[in-house]
Amino acid sequence: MYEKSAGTENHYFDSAIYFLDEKIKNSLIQIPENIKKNAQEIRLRTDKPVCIVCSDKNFFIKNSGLTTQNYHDNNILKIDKNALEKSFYSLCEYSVYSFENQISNGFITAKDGHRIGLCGTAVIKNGEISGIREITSMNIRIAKEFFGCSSGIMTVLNKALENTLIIGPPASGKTSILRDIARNISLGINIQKPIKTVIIDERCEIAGVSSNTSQFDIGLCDVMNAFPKYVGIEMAVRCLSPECIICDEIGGESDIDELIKCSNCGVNLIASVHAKNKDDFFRKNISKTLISKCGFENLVFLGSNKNAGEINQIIKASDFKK
Amino acid sequence: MKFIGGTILITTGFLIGYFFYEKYTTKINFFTQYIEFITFIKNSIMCYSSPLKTILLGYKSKNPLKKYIEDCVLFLNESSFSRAWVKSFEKNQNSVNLSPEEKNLIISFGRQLGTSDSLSQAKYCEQQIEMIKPYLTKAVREKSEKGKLPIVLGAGIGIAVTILMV
Repeated sequence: MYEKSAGTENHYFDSAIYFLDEKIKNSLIQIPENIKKNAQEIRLRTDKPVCIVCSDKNFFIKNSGLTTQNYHDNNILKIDKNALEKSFYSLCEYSVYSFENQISNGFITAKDGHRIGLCGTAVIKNGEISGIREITSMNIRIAKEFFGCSSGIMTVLNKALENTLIIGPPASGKTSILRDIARNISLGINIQKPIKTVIIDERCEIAGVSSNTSQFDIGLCDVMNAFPKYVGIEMAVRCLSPECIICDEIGGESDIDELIKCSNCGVNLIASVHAKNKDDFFRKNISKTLISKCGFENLVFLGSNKNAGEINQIIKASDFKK
Repeated sequence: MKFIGGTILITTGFLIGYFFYEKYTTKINFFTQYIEFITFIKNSIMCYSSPLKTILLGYKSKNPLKKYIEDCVLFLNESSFSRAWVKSFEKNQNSVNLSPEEKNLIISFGRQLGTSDSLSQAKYCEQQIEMIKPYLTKAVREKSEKGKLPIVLGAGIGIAVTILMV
């Protein structure tokens, strides 16, 4: 498995901070290359130190450009309210209305597929969240491509393309694996033949579509960008004659209803779901529905977020039922 | 020779007068185009939620508004939208004879554009159109009341100078 690098080794980190306030961006650009390479998230909170989250450590930036792990260090770089606000407007391309659907779901997908989680004050209309105002913090999740991270799963899929569920905690690499699978099966890599694949990319993370193009290499997949899963799946089945549908983060009843219909239509499904581990997954009511009614046969359990993308175990649902 | 000289003088006087007359026409064209432009922004926001830069690039503008929009797009590459809007109008302020009140109205509109949800932005655009319309009406009235005066004055001065020289 290798990380794709475009140009410089730390292209992902530098591309994730393009929208930030100049002072913050210039400080982040100067941090050591090894920290950039291992960074998973950049957390920005009003009047608090800028925090770089790596798999096992957090780093803060001193005004001198050096990094420290000591939160209480003097001369530490903080982001103030104005800088955070400027960064937010820049992220929205100075067109907040253009991202209002994403904002009401608590995130914005930036260029190159990075997801920026938002915290602030909820704006509620008719009992539903219509937006967020007074942004108080942003969490930049740095999106990376890991070519070959699904090699273990492709071995199983090569024998038979069956419904596959990727299960893991947050930041365990579910989306990266789905992306790798999408590319492989659409191009016929490590599988018997190319598969007509549609990605229902509700959170715009799998393909990272921006300016009409996918920022990630997803082979020959069709992408339904920002479509809610329950709408996208139905439209894909009706209009795109898919052999396989890929979607991320199954949760709601409406999602599951569509997955059941899809499975009954003979379309293969590859999806992901949150669960801490195997026991946590089987404790949930959703697990029984996913296995029995949606027909998920391959259950792929991932490691913790310290070992993102690492496959702990692949089990067959039919073996489990026995 | 005197005839040619006289003709040139009268024509020059007429052209100078026409130049000032055209300023009234330019102002009316500017407000008309500006209202169409804001309507276009409003519809783009409501129908497509396109980002502002995309809207500006997609708008087929004519002079005199064209220069403002082109400059705004240029400035957007290096600054925020509100800053780009203000800089564009400050740079081109002499091309249309806008009063300080009219300028402030247009500049303050740009400061709030893009800062909220689509419904609010649509209402904001509608409000701007309603606030600009009286200035358009005023510009049309000024042209009909005072527009021909510079032409008459210019031609008249040309004739007077010709007569004096003859």
